[in-house]
Amino acid sequence: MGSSAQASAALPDPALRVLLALGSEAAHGYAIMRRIADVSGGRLQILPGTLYSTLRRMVTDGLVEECAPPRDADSDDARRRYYRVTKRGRAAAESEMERLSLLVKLGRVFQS
Amino acid sequence: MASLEVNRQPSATPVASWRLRAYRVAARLWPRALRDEHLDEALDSLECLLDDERRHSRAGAWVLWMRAMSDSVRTASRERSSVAPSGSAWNDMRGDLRYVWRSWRRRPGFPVTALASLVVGLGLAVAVFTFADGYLFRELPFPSPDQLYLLGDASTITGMVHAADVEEFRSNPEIAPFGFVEWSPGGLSGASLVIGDRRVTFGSYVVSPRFAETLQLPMVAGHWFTKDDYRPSTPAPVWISDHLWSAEFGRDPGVIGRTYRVVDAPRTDRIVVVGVMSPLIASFDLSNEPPDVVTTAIGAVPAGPNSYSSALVRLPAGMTRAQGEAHLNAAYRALPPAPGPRAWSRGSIQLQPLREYLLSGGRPTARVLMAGAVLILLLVGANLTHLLLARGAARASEITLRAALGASRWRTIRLFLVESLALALTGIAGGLLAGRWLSLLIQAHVPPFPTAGRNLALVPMLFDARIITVAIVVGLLLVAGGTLWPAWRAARRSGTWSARAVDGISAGIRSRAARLILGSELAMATVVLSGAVFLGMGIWKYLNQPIGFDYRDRFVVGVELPGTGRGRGTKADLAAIAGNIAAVPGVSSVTTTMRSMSNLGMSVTARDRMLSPEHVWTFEIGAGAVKTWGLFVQRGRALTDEEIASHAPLAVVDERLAIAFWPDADPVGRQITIGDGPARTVIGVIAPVAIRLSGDQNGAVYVPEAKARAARMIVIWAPGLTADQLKQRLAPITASLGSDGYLSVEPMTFSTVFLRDSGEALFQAPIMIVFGALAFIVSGLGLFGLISYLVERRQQEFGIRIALGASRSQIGAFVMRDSVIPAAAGLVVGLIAARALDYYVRSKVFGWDSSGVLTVVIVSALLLGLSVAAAAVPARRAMGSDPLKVLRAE
Repeated sequence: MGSSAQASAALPDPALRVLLALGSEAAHGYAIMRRIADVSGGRLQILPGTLYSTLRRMVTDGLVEECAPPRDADSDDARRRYYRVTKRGRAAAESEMERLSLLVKLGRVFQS
Repeated sequence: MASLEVNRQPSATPVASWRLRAYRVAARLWPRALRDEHLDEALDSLECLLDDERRHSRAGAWVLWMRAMSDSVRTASRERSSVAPSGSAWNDMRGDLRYVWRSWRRRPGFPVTALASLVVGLGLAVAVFTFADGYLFRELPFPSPDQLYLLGDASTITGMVHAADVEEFRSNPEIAPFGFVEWSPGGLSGASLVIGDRRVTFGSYVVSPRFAETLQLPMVAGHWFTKDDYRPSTPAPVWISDHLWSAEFGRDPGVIGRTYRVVDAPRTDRIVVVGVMSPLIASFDLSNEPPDVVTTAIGAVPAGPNSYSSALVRLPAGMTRAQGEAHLNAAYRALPPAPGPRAWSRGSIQLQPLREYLLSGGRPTARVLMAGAVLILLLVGANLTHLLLARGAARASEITLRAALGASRWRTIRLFLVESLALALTGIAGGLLAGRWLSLLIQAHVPPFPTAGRNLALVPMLFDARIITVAIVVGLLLVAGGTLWPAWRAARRSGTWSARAVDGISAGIRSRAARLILGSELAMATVVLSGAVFLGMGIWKYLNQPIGFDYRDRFVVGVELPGTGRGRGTKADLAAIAGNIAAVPGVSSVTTTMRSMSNLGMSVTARDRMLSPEHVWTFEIGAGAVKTWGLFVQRGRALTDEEIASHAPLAVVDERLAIAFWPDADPVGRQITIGDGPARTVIGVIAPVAIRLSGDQNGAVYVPEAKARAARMIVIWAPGLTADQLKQRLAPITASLGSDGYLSVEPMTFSTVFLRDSGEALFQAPIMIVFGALAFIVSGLGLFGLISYLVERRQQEFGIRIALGASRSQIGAFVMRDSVIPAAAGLVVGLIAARALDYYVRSKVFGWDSSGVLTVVIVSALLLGLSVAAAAVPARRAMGSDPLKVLRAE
C-alpha cells in the first residue's frame, strides 16, 4: 500500500477485524483471535493462518506495528509478539468505518 | 475495547501434540518468510484456541483443528500466488484447482463416491496396519534383535530352564560374556498404584540385574536400573510402560524420581519411578496384562527347587542359533547334578528367537487382517480406476474443445493431474483421520490379556510418522494408478483434434477391459466376503457352543466384611449374609462358586477303569448350585440341597464322563470313586459344563461339598432384575455390614465368564464384519459405476437397435446379461481363490470355519444379487434410449 490513497481504499475483511480487535491497546495474536470471537459471540472467527499472514502484510503496509509487551502483559511467553495500531492504521480504520456507515445508511431501506 | 481475559491456564489434558505437528507440516506450504516470522506464534495461538475449545467439547476441538488446517492451506495458496508472477506454475495450478473445485461442486457424484471409497478404504487399511505393523514388519527396538533368544528345555515341567542353571551359566567364564537375563511374573502383582485419589491396577514382572543393559532396552524417560536399585530397599524402583505413563500421568516427565504409594503389594508399600519403557514394548511376559505394566527390580528372580523363569541370552555377533545351542548345551551337560530331593530334570537347550516369542501370538491375526485390508485397497483402487476412466470419457467433449481452442497436451494432462492430486490429498487427509479414529477403536478392543493361549497386546499400536508415510504412499499410488491411464488417453487425443476425436475419447476403455475390471472386482469382493463369512461363521459357532449352564439373570456378589486380612468375618457371618441375600425379594436362589478338586490330584475310578486327574474334572458343589447355575439334567436327577448338606455319598456326572465310563449303559445307579474316598452312587447325568471354550474338554463329576465353605463370592439367580435393582434391594444388607464392609454386584455375561477365551474372537469378529460389509459396498458402488459407464457408451448402439426393431425388454436383458456374465465369471474365480486361501489359512487362523457349503451359497447369492441390483438402474436407462435422438445426433 504505502500511500494515503491506498490507505483510504476498502480494507480486506481480516485486516479490518484485526484493527477493530486491537483498538487502542496492544495485544498478541491469540488475544486478537479471542477478542474477535468473543465480541461477535463466536459468529466471526479468524484462524492462525489468516491472522498471521494478515498481520505480516499490515506491518509491511504500516497499519500496525510490533511493540513491547504492556506492563500488565498476561504472558511472558517469548513466542508471543505484541502489536498495536499505527496512525496510518487508525486513519484506514476510520475511513473504512465511514464507508461502511454510508453503506449501512443506504441499506436502511432493507431493514425491518 | 474492554480488555478481555486471554491468559491461558495450563490445561489438565494438553492438546494432542500430533495435531500441532500436523499443523506445522501443513504450514510448510507457507512462503518461507511468513513461516520463519510467524509459525511459532501461530502454533502457540492454535494450541491455546484448541485448549479453550476442548474445555467445552472434544468434538468442537476437532472441528476447529480441521478448520485451522484448511485455513493454513488456503493461506499458503493465497500468499504464494500473491508473490508468484502472473502465469507462473503456482498460479496456473491454483487456477486448475479452482476449476476442479467448481466442477466438483457442480457434479458432486464423482468426488463424493471417489473420496468416500478412498477415505474408508485407506482409513481401514491404516488402522489395520497400525495393529499389524508391529507383528509383521517393524523390527524389535533393540540393537541386533536377531541375536536375542529365549532359553527353553522341553524336558522340564515348564519347558523352561531352571533359574539355578541360568545362574550357573552366568558364572561360567566361557559363556557368561553372552549375557543372560531373566524375568518372572510377580514382583508387584495384585497391587494397586495410588495416584491422587485414584487406585490403578497394573501388570507386573520382576527382572534380573543387567536386564536393560543386555537388551539395550530403549527408554523414553528416566534410566535403567543401577546397582543400587537392586538392594532390598523402600521405595521399590520401577519402570513403567509408556501406556501407563500416558494414560495415568499425562506423559509428565516430572514423574521420574517421584514416589507413589502402592497397596496390597507383597514386599513394599511405596515405589519410585526411575524410567519409562519405549512405547514399542508393552511387556515381556506373555502372561501379563499389557499395556499398563510396571517392571520392577525388587525381589530377585526366584531360585527354589521349582523356580523357573523366562531366561534370555544375547548371542555374540555373528554366532548362529545352532552354534549358540551347541555352546550352551556343552555347558548344560557339564553342570553338576541338581541338588536336593526334588531335583529338576535336564534335557537339552533349545533357543527360540525373542522376536518369535513376542510376536508369534499376534501374527496370524495380523496376517488375516492385513490380507483383508490389502484386498479392500485393491477394490478401492479398481473402483477409482474406472471412476476416473469414466470421468475422462464423460469429459471428452470438453477436452476436445480445449484442444480446438489451442490448449497444449501438457495443459490437458495437468488438469487431470491436478484433479487427481486434489483427490489424493483430500482422500489421504480423510483416510488418516479415519485411520486414526479406527485405530483407537481397534486399540480399545485388543484384548489386554492372554486369550486362547495368545497375547495380542504385547506389541503396542503406534500411530507415528511411519504409519503416516505409508498412508501417503499408498494413497498416492492408489490415485496414481487410476489417473495415469485416463490422463494419457486424454493427452493422446487432445493433440490431434478432429471430428472423430470426441468419439475416440468417449470410447474410453474398451468393453473387454471394462468387463475384465468388473470381473476382477467381483473376484476380489468374493475372496474378502468369503473370508469374512468363514471367520464370521467360525467365530459365531465358537461363541455359541453349548456351555451347559445359564449365565442370564445371574449375578456374582462379592462380600467384603469389616476388618483386615483373610480372617475377616467368620464362617457363620458369611453364612448369615448368604441367608439374608437368599431372602431378598426377586432372588430365586443362591449358591457358592463351584470348587474344583482337580488340583488335589485325585483320579476317578469306575467299572475298574481309572481316569487320571489330567483327564477328568472333579467339582464340589454347594446347596442351590443346580438351580442357580441352571445346570441341564439329561438323565436321572440332580443333587438335592438336603443331600448336599448331609454330604451324601452320591455323584452327578456329565455326559462326557458318562460316555467315557459307560458308553453302552445307563450310568444312573452305578458306582464311582474319587481318589481314595468312598464309593458314590451316580444319580444323574447333566450336560457338560464348559470351563473354557477352547482346548481339551474333560468329563466332569460333581459331588456334595465335604464341608460348608466361608464363601466370599456368592452366585445369585434373580430373573428379571437388573444389577442396579439388585444393588438397591441388597442395600439394607450392605448397610448392616458397617462402614468398611460392602457387597459388590457384577452381572454375569458371556464375556465375563469366558473372558480369556472369547477375547480374541470378540476382537476379530467386528473387524471382519466391517471388512465384509465394505467389500460389499465398495464393489457394489464400483459395479454400478462401471455398468452405468458401459451403458452410457453404448447408448447410441441401443438407440439403433431399437430403431431396427429390438424390443425394450430385449435391450434390458442384453444389458443385464452383459453385466451379470462377467460378474458371475469373477464370482467363480473368486470362489476358487477363496478355496485356495482356505487351504493356506485353515489351521493358522483362530475361528476359521470353512465347513459346509453354506458360505459358498451365501457369498454367491449376495454378490450375484448385488450385480443384478447394480445393473438394474443402467438397464432401465438403456431401455429408455430414444432412437430419434440417437439418429439425430448421428
